[in-house]
Amino acid sequence: MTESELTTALDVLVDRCDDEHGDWADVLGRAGLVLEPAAGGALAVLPRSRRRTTQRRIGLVALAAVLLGVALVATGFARDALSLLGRIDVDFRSSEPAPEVVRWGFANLATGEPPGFAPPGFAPRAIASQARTVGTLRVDGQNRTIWVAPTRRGGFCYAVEDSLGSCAPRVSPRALPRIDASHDVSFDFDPRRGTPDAVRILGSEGIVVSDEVERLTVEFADGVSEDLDFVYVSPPIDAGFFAYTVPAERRSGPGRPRLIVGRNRAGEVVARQRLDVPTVTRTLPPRFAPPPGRGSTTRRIRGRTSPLPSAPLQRGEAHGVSIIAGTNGSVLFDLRGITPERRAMLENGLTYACFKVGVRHGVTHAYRNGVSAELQPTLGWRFDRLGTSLDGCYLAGYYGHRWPGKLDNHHVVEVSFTEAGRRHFEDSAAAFGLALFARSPATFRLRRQPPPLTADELRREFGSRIAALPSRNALPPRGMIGYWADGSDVLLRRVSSSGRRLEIVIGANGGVRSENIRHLTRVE
Amino acid sequence: MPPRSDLLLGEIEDVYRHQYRKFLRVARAMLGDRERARDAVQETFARAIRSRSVFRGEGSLEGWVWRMLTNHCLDLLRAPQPAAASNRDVATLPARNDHPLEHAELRAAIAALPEQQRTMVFLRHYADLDYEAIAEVTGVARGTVAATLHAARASLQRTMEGSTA
Repeated sequence: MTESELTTALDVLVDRCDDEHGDWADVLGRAGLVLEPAAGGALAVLPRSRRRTTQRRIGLVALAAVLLGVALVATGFARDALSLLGRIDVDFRSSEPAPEVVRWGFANLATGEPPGFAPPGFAPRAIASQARTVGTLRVDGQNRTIWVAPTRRGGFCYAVEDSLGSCAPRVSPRALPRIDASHDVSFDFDPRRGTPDAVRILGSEGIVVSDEVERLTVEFADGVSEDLDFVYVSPPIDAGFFAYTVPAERRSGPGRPRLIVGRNRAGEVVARQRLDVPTVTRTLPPRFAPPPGRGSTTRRIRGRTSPLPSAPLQRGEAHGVSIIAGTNGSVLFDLRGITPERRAMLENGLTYACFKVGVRHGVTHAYRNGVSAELQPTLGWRFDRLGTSLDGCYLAGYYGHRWPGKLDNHHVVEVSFTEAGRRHFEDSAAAFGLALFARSPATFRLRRQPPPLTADELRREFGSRIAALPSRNALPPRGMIGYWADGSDVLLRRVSSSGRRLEIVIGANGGVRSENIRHLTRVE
Repeated sequence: MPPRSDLLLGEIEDVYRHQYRKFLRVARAMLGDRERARDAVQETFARAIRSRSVFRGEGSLEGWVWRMLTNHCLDLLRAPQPAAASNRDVATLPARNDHPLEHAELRAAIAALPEQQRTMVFLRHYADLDYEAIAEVTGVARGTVAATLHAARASLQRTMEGSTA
């Protein structure tokens, strides 16, 4: 037995405990420590014996903060005073610990959980226990809290409340001052318009990597400039954080933002970041209306706009459908050349979806994101939180799924950008077919009535798609579902064309006792 | 600079948050019951916090906690069990009917392994620890880990081949 064979066998046995999240407060309690609320809603760890004294101290600090806030508001200077500051320096060590939920968030960056929280394989090794609340940024007219955590590699991760976050590697002390907003500039793109106004800059979030930067300014194409507030956090973070929402009248045209500039104490420009706008090179045709009476259960995304896919692009085509995905998560689906038979399968509505394959707890897992809509010739959509490189996209039709299923249980259109994507399509289709068979009314007798069916009975009842397995560990021929029963359990097995072994074990009561397909299909 | 004990507390917290499910998985495999496993993990980390002042930093903190967990689980298995509980083979019995019968042979084969082999198999396959880390946890040389795991695999293979023949 090789190590990989043993791993596979043990994987089936293990109770993976994926639904467990731990309870750090309970651990602290058992260790004789308590979690106490600190100022700003954060939590601090204290020995039980210090509890009362510190409660009083926190109360005084909180009261002082409230009084200061009241005083500032009363004099009308609360927000203005902050705005005048421009750069707000924050001492990391003395900042409040981040709330418990945020610490879990940083810890989970390494595991990619919950799905979509971080791209698969993204493991910055943020030190969650050192996460701090360092201030607020103004995003879309609202104050949003910033949390930061150092990483074991000397960099840091940050998250902005109800918004994005990112991680940055360690910066050499000799590195030049830098403003990094290149991945956090949000655009708005209307694919029906081919003019430069089709792309609008909505805002930007980013980091300033240099203690030298004292002033941050956004410069517009018409020569106007505006100072930005930013929060600069001391080492080990040693970086500043800013967010800027572009006023509606300046999102496109000659008054649009062009640069973010950092200046030192002497007013010299020490860093700059261009806010490049993608250029639309052609006009896509308008959407057409759906057939009357069709698609009433789906959303029509009329007038929705999405950002232009950013280079490098991933492209693929199948059955006359072209799909272009960008590193910013934006995907353009072009269905104008779709073949008539595939089009017919989508006319009751469809899901446009993309996925990224990753490994979660040692098991290959596809992180999916999709949108339901009516059939339209082109659709641009931004799939958030799937990472910068996709493995595939597909169109799934609403035509009712019953075993044995159309297209051998593949989606109506599948475009894989990578080998992992192709394998996922194969595994997913095989798993879906197996799940449909297992829950099919035709299998009720098979599921509920041991003794086992004979090969002849199987053939009579299910045709040539099901094969009796000679032993519990035997494999069925490709494309067929294997059946094995011992009087109490019924085993259904299929081997995907990628070679992956998929199976469901049904107990004597007709319930599923174990399976390894749930993560590949949404059939319950 | 925060006191060393505070730094260690933070590092223990990070180990807990990053590796909690792995710890729970191994404890579950060793103890055979999720509730007991959960309690064992919580207790292990609480002990780690209480005794962090004696951690001398000669090995990794995570390895130190792993060693505490495996020792704690082994202590629990060796302790007298209430009549309703099972014997030491509880370590590899399913908690409920959550596994197919076809794996009963493998489960029995794992239960029949010597204690050290079984622990190393769990650490290798359920916690993804490499040989170096397992050596650190179990207090043996790396070569011993390799030889022990090889013997465990050979033993499992013999058992499985015997059962399917």
